[in-house]
Amino acid sequence: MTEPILSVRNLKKHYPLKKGLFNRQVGAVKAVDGISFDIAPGETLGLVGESGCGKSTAATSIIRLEDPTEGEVVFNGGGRAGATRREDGTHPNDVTKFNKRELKRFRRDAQMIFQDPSSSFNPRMPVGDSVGELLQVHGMKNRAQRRAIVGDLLERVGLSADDYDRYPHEFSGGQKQRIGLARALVLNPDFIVADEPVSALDVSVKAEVLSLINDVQEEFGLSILFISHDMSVIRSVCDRVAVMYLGEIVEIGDTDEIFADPQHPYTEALLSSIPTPNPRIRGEGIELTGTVPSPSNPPSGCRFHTRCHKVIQPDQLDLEQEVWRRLLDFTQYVEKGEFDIDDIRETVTLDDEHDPTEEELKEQIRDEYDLPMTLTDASAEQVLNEALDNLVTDNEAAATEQLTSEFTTPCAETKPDYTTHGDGHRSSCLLHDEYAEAEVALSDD
Amino acid sequence: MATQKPTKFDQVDWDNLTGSGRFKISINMKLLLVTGVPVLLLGLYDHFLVGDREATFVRLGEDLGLSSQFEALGLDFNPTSVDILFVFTIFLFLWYLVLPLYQNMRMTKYYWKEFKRNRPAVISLIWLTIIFVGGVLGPFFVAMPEQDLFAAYQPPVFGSIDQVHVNQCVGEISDGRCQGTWEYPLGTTRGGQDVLAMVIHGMTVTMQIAFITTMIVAAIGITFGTVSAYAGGWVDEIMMRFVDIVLSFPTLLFFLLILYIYGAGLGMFILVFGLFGWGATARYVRSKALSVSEEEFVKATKISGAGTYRIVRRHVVPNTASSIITQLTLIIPGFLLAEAQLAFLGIGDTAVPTWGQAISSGRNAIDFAPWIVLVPGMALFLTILAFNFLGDAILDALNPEAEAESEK
Amino acid sequence: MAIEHDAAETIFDENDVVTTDDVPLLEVEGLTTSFKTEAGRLVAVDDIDFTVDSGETVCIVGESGSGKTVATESVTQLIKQPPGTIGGTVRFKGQDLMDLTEKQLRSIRGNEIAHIFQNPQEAMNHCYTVGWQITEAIQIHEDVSKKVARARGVDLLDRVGIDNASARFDDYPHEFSGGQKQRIMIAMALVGNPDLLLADEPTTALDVTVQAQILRLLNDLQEEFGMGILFVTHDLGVVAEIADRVIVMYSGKIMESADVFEIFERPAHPYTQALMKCLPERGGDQRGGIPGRLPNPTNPPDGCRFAARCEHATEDCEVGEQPPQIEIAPDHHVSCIYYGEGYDSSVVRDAELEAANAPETEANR
Repeated sequence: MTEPILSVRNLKKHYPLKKGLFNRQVGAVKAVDGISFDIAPGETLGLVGESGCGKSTAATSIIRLEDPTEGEVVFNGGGRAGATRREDGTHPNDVTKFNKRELKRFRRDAQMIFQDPSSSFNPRMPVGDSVGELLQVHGMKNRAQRRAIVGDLLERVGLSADDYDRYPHEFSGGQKQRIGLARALVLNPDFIVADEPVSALDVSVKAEVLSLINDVQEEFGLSILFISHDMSVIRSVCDRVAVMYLGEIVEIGDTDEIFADPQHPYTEALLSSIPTPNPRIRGEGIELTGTVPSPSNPPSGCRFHTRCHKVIQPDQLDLEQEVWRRLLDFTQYVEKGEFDIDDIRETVTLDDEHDPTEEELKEQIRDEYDLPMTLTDASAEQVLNEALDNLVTDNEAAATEQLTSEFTTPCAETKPDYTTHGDGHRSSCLLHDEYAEAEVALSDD
Repeated sequence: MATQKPTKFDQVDWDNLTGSGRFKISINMKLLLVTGVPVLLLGLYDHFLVGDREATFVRLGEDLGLSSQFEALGLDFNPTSVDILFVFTIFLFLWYLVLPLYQNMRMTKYYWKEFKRNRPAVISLIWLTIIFVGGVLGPFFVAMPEQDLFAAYQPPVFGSIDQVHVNQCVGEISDGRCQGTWEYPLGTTRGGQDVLAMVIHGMTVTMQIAFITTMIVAAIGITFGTVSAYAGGWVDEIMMRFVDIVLSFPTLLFFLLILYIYGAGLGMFILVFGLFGWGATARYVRSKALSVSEEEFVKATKISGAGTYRIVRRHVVPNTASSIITQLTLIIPGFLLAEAQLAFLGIGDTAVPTWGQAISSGRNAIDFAPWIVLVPGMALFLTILAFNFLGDAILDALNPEAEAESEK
Repeated sequence: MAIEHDAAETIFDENDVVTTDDVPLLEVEGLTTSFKTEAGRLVAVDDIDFTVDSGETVCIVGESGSGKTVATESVTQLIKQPPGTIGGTVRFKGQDLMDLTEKQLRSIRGNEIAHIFQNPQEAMNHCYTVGWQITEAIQIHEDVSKKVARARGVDLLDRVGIDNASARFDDYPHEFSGGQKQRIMIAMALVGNPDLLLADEPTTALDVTVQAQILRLLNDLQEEFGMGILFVTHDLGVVAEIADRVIVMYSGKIMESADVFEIFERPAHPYTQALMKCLPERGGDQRGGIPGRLPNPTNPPDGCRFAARCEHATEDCEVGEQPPQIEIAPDHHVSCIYYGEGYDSSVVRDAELEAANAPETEANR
């Protein structure tokens, strides 16, 4: 196996939550919580996920715009190839340990393209100077030479050398993104992080910029970490994809494989949510319930289990998957104390003006939380019924106890390991653990 | 290789381009050094070596052994320290505000296009330019207004005054009223001083106050604000608490105190108000700097490998400039008004002919000789109004993003 | 101009298949919205016609700068006048909204015609709880007690899919996520039982998973209440997901309008075809996007607005006005001279694209 240009190992970025007079740390927002992947030379790896999943934080930590909390980012580009670990276990190419001088050298080999074309250029500087500044910072003192290089580069990205003296406000969003690419290229780096480079652009412009990125990558053999929330963009530019959820990578593999045969339920849901431009197939997607939980207090076990449509049932139960999902949702509400019987009572009273009977209340609860009037599984039905009885008689604690002890999922208890599904295709879901092959140890090389 | 430098980005041999570029002095800095330093040296010379009664240039001529040449050139001025500081400030203004506008013609044209949409602001700018040019050049052409009791209460041209109030009418007398003449186009005061001359010399003082206080406020405020924003942590905390103290400092009372104990002239006024007037600016600059450093282009510069100084100097400060300039333009009226108020109360510097002095000198004659109050009063009013209009228009004009967004 | 326009009009009115009633819910004719700017008069929407029926979703699709947002905002005159000027007729249930006073319009806006916008956080008041805002909206709409209004508010929130509605009723807007805020905005829009919902890119700021939820919600609500929806978007995927009929706008003009299957399977206008080709999922090969850029809105070119970027453009395309709306199939109108008399429409037809998108070839997922 050839040496990857970038290999990220167990990268974490936690933002401390501070509180009180003395800034006591009371917890942490785990924006990125232990991700690992490799990028081969010339490869584009896509990092995809919903907003708040930590993909942008991952990018800024890798390129060291922010210092990561933990983990290792080994960068082997820019003539650093072939380095071996030191005796104390640290790697000489570990970006997170670079000193000031090494970091500046690293900046020459790894650059970034930003999301927002309107704010990624200094509005008071001609764009040519913005691009040329990188050359200047790295020691090119000759102004004419800088101008020549930047002019040539502007032409390569589809603008003209005369645009050197124009200011950002004189360009459209797509043009600015081209200049953004020029700025990322001007130091001739080996690796580029592209953080949602086309999400602010129109469809037609988006396609233009993407094809430019593709061309440039081929011509200069760049490796790209491409961050996007847009699966269709990922599909058209990336060789491999890593799907992130709540600071973790849930699935990683070849783009074609992931799109054809997603292994993790989250990937599956994400893919099916993309509105396909085909009016003949609509409304067939998997609908995820709820929203992304807070990264300061992520769910136990598999982080996706609170929303997963394939969440595993315990052996003793036999329910329809959809009902099981709703039953778990209901349990979560009661457990978090977000269930209020008085509101239910109020709603029932409004329909007709008499005191509601317990049966009516129970019916209303089942109705509001989309639970069937009788569950197909007798033992589950019995537990639910008893819990509802407790709820309508204001005995919430007992109901919580009943629900949480009966309706448990292994997904909430066990953190799934990665399962391999073929060459470099891995996912972390308990569903696969049963037929998991030999585990891939995340070795160093 | 040494002669033929590569012009393609992927052909640059970076390892041979060592070093991060030696310190280079910009043209602006050179010009400032060439012009400003002699002025400052002159100031020091004037302060330490020249006696109070001696004219600086006459003494300089003697010291340099060039008396006759100086005399031939008419160099016999006796500038005060305020004058010298004023000249230095003008050089600073020229090399760091006007020259950059010329250097970035493209952007200047754009600003001007935006700026000229605002009619009142254009008129304001013309007015202030008149005040500026009048203030700088006026004193060379118009003599200090002198007492001339025979010419007291002369009315302005096309105006007239009841004969009983004037000793001797310069113009014609018809119907028992003294008519104004072109000799005193804006009339004279009780002491027979020419109001026009007073207004012109008042322009100088006005501009001196405007420029020098602004320079002091800008220098301290911008440095303080950016350092505070970039240092962060407890440094930021301490600096901002210090700003709180400066902001709550009773500047006027402090000035009165100095006045009563030591006596104070215009120079002291400028110094005190300048040194205690930068609190709001510093706080403002800090908040602007913090918000600008969140922008993606600052992140992009960080990624480029640039150091903090470069980021602040080239990216953060220029992008806070539009709001700083606006803020500064809007605090000038405060200084002008403060000076006028002090002068009106009779506790200003009587040695300098300010507009406030002029207004004050006419207050007893307002019923029969209103021009003494009205002319400098209008000048003051219009100048303050002009600064306010200008500040507003500058904020709009210097904001390219706002324009880009409205076009969407 | 007027004559040409009338000619187009007659073609447009014939065989109006969708209408069951005599009067469509919303009928827009000759809508022209312009703005006074420094650079001159900017015509954002230039003489467009369209209708929306009850229970129907009409999507206006176009790139930024095409005038699609201005078009919807002109319907209820949300455009500030001046600097804006709105011309033409906008008939809502037969009544011309242009004749109404600002006060009458205001009562229509919240009640019969509701708006939802791209950024829910900007449309909400952050000083009050969500429940307070909904209760107030209900009480403005009808004279009911606070208790009843509250119960109805909870019911609405529940219906738009806010879990645990009764408990979250007294939360502030910042305590909800973006998708939930958009749901709340929809709930507020539903307060007056609107007959027409104007949705301006309501899902653009949201994640795909949330977008799917909101689109589904809108579909369900439409089935339940039978309202007409005018949906503005730039995303053809969303269009395919939700639209019954599609209007393709470019530079203030309507280029093509047809039902959703026609648009996707037989796109007739070169601009629509170019948009389709930007989509890799639709067998698109236009990896480079559409070359060129939008014409200057203050000084649009003669002839077809798209001519400068159109690969089929001839000299005829660059003279006169935008070509009239020609009906090429039932309820399928195209503004392209190739479909007029004396031209060969097969030149602009893209057989390859049509074959790739034909309903039989489900191979492209």
